[in-house]
Amino acid sequence: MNTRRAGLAACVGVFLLAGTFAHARIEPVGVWSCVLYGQDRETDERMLLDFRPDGSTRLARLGSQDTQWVPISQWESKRRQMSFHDSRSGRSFQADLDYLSLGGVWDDSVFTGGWWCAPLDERPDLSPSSGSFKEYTVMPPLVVDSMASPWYPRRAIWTATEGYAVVCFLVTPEGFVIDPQFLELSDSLFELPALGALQRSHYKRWDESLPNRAACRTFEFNLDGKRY
Amino acid sequence: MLYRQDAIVQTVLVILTMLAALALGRPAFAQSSLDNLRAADSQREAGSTTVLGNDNQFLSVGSQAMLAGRWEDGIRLTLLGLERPGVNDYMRAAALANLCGGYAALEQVDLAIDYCTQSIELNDRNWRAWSNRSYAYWLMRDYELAGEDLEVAASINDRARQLGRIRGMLNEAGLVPRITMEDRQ
Repeated sequence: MNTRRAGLAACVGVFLLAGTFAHARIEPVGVWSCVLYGQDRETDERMLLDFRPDGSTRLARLGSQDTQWVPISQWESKRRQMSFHDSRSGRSFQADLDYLSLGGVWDDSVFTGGWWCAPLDERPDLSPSSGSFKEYTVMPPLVVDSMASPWYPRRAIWTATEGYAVVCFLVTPEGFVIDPQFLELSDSLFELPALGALQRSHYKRWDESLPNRAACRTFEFNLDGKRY
Repeated sequence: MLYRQDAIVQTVLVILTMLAALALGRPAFAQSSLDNLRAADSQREAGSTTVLGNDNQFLSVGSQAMLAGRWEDGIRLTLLGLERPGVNDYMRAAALANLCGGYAALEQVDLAIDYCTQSIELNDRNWRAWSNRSYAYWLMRDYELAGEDLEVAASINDRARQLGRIRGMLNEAGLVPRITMEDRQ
């Protein structure tokens, strides 16, 4: 069992390193399909973000019949950080451009959460004259084929440590998970188990002509019973 | 096997016994101020010569045998040492705690608990006796009693590394992991 876990740890390390070494700083200009999650499940959203070279930003919320582009604040980039603001929702967004894809955290002075995006090759036409916009063309439905469970680290049980992790990633049309990025991690003990579980997970395939899909997964590690 | 024991437990016992051995006195080249006080007590009781450090070779050698993992020898010598005159309550409590550790190492937990209890009755501030009894209860899988003794030991000396190990063993035995996953998409 320990040999197997060591092998898995090595694979996860390669999984991580491959993304790291192949990764250049994210260039935000372009169109992105994004998921947004919050502490409250009700705040989860899907949206499109369009960052223009002149600094203008547009947002389109998916999941409604009337999806259209709405201008929001200018986006700014300083060193490795990018920021913009959506006055309609009151959310301020920040992104770390050293991440494996575009994403980061948001807050609205009451709640907080994260967001994660996959790049789109072209800007979708949301105008009514273009015909009906099909959400699945920019954000294919994500159906789990197999969701692997992480192991609970022995050291965490030993020290009665509980925690959580939020990992965001992209899913390819073949259903594979790529470019995992931790947006939240309460204790480094849970990093390897979460990544290992992601690596062993798989989604159902979709049309290869459609783009990669952004998603996030939360892991909560709890211990039941009396602790010493 | 009814009870289980692994390398960590062995280490716990060795270290506990080693520390108890210090309390029982060592050859004359090693002497602490506390040993001097105990020696003075012995002198008053015996009314004879000053006894320094190595005043009870059986107890001393017995504890060293346990340090080396020779539990049966250690128990035998310690029992002999306890029969010798001039064993004060402090030394007796430490020796009983050693017997507790030795019997626990041999997985004779009933005897272990009995000796630890006797040690505690003589000196309830000896955290090692509480710790050893906690371990013996752990062997019996009586995790509630093991936890109670562990807490008493920790209230006396929370910095003892051995307590951290027993704490970890109790957590491993008693805590049930529960992992929740959810996709946010």
